[in-house]
Amino acid sequence: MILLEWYKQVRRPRTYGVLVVVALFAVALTVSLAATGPAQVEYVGDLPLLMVPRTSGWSVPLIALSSTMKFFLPLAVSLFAAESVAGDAAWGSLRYALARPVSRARVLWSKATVAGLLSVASVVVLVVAATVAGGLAFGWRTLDLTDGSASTPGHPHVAAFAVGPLVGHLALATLYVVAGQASIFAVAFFLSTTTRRPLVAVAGGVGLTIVSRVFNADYLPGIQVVDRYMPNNDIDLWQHLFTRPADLAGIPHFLILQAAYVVVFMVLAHVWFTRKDILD
Amino acid sequence: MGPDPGPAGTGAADPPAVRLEGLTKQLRHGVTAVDHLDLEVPTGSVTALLGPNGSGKTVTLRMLLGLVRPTHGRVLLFGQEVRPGARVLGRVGALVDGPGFVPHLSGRRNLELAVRLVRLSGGDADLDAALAMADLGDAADRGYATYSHGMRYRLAMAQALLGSPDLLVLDEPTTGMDPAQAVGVHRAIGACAAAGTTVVLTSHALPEIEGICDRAAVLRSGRLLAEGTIAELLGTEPRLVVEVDDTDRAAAVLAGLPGAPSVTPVGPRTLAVVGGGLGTVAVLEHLEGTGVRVLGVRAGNLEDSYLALLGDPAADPPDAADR
Repeated sequence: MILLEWYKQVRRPRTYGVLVVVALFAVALTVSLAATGPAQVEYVGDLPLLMVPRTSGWSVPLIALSSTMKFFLPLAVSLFAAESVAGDAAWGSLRYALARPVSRARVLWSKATVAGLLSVASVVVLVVAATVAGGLAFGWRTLDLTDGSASTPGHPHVAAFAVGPLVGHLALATLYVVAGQASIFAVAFFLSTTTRRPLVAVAGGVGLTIVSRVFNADYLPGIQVVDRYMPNNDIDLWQHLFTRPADLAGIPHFLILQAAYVVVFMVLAHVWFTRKDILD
Repeated sequence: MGPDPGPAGTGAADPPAVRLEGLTKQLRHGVTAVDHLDLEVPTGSVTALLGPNGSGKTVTLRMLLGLVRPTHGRVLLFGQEVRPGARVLGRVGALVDGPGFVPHLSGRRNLELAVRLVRLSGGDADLDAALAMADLGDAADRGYATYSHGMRYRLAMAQALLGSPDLLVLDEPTTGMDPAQAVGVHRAIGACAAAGTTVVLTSHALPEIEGICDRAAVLRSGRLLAEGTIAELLGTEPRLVVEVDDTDRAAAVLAGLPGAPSVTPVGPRTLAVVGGGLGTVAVLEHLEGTGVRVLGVRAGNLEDSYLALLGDPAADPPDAADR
């Protein structure tokens, strides 16, 4: 069942279209950085991390992750999640699959698995494309990163990362960003089971990131209580993996929050889908 | 036949292909789409569900396929209760609410997906037979999105017939087809019936129903109005349909005749006349003798019986959903 769903989705122009656009973004980012002056300092993320991109190609995946994690990647993930059930319903093929002696739960979880894999692929493709493009443009050299939150005038907190640790930390950062998209995926996937209009579910996933940013205590300190439960606000904590010492205090809470969103909305999707009447 | 067939249903003591027991479906907003429907479809028959839009035909078919859960009552196929994903659905082929395929895959790939989904025992043989039936030619390897309306319906029929199902459920299978394509579908249904497949279908084309079905059930507002063989629905007494210039006056004239025939309007200028022992000549003489102008006269058909059964369509409650 998973293979059938995989076959349907990977042959879909929209699927590889999204992955190609993600990869092209990484290339365009590299070209833009290359076109900028050689000593240009970039302030990456909310921390911020300070780096000179042209000194090492490893800067590009960090900048790419930082610039896409709050909208572009949620959009890609929402697309994959939203299309999985609602797309099939819109084509009319869902009712024929469900009129067969196949359990609805199997159909649902096959779709969830494939949409999840494609969502992970969107993040991985971004990082790999940015790493390759960055390395080809600037070389895979040691990267100096300055912790903008801890630095003071005349006393910059600089950490130099050799290639080995960089690869490990970048892999962890990628995993963290993947985990950070899980809540958006779950909400868009649940919405996908309730409609035959994929765009409604896409809007739900992207809308969640917007709501999350609105209720962000970084901008409105008075909403600290709500901020803790917003799914997208702490997605930039992976940047602390590239500071010394690394402050990883908020990461467990964020991962637990993602797990909670996933459990709640995937259970809702299961209950809804296995009981709904297929009337359209 | 499906991948895991239940007990075969061909013997006299076997349960009917379809049994609906007190079947009721209430939709949202308090709309009752199907209302305590009891019906049996004998194995091997070709049975039509008839009724105006919103009478509950499509919802009933969807409950047959486990797509919609009954609010009350149950559906039994070959004696086994239908639930979503029930094993007995492996014995059923369906075309409901038009074709539904993955648009970026070819007709061949779409049928392959259907074969693999239920692991049909026939495998490639089933696929080849279905492709031959769809008659897509070179287009079989072209994207489904490029297909014409007729090609899509042929592919949908081919999918419904994959694996030679014991029960074929067809919801308006000839909608939008040209006459030649519709004849092709009629032939396919006839071939299935000849092979012992039970067919349940809906259609608004009553001459088509009269030609291919041996039984029919008429629904109105989700309730069963009448059911039986086509001959039973046509009635044992001859039915005469007259077209006149003044139906009210003609109805009054005919109803006052000896034998008190039943007179029912079946169109804006047509009346169905049943009983009273009146022949065509007698009816014409009485009408013209009282100044009613007769524009035409013919023997009654299923359409007349159906319209007479439904009576005044304006009496139907408004339907809030596609039923």
